[in-house]
Amino acid sequence: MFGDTANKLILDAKRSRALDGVPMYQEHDVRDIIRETRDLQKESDIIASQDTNAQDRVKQCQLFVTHLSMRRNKRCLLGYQRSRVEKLMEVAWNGQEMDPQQMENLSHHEQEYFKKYSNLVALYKSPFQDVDVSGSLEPPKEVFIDVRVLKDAGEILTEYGVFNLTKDSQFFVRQADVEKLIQQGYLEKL
Amino acid sequence: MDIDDILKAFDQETSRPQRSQSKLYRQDYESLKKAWINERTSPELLHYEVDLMERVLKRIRQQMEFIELNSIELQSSEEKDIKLLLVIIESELDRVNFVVRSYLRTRLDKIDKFTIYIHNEEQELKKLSPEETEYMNRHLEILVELYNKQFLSKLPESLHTLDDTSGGISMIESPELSKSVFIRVLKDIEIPIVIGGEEIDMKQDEIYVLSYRLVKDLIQAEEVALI
Repeated sequence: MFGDTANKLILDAKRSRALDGVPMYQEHDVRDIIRETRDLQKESDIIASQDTNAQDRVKQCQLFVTHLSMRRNKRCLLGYQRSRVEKLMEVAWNGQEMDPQQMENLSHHEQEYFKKYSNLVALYKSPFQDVDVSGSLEPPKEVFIDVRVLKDAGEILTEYGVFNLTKDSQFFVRQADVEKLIQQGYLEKL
Repeated sequence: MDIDDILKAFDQETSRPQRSQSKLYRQDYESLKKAWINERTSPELLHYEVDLMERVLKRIRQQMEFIELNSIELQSSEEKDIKLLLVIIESELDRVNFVVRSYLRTRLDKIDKFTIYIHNEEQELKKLSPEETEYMNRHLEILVELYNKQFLSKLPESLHTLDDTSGGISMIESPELSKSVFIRVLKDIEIPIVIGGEEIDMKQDEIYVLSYRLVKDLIQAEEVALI
């Protein structure tokens, strides 16, 4: 049936919303949908070129359904891509490194986009150095917080001295100093 | 007693000559909060607060310098009073930073959502700051490039555009202006609002739930505020 593959793609997009990372790019499905849409175009061209009189309801209906299916396919493709783009945007804003395995899940053009968008975020941020536009969007409650170290992160230097972040140790530090490390998953807020 | 009270008491004690200035700062903070809440609750993008943001950013810079300067002294001198002051300023700074950040990010969210709509309307473009305009144009550019390379250019030619409005469904997402919003009336409104033949007189401090479209101009004139 027309539109079945597109439906599969949308289900994939919906399912991946709940996931942390970006799942594998469904190149195969996308290619199928493109092919289907092209076939539909050919069919509609044939129908349109046939000598029809305006009274032929069946033909008109056929043409109409073909066009609708094509548009639906396009919307599904865009929706699928958009949902992936939104995930990539989120990663770019958190200032996270894309781990190599994640990178492989992206198509070549998506990798390209991710690189460009990360640069764009950096560009937008640069005039607002003091505010850190990509910081946490949770309202701050306290200046100092307790954190636990999840991964070795080496030494960090703050205004209040040097901390050596070894796994499983706990510190009482200024939230602003460790914001980035929490986002990157090195520290956990207690 | 919260931090605002402590700060107020501090202002009164130490900076009598600067009082008018600190009042201005406080006003700016109030306006910043108002701008932030308005931006977060309104369905469409509002005007960027150029002057206000400039003043707030400058003030943040000054406060950071003050902290840096004094935390160096902190290590050398035995003065403990300053420590409390620094912590107060830091938490104030954290809060202001958060509001500024959230304000900017909320705007970017909307810009990303309504890119093509904003792009096509002269009126909407005026609402952006230079940085936001730059961001929007570049992002649109790389997005279109991505869509084209991924699949759009392989589809039949009639389906190539991103701003297609044929076929009964517009592809351009535009703000839903009829969305209901909560508002507080800041001062008595002279001209009553008319809903379905019924006139509503709005008095100061009253709270209403109305369609955004009806109060759009009043928000801009700062006669009502979104809550």
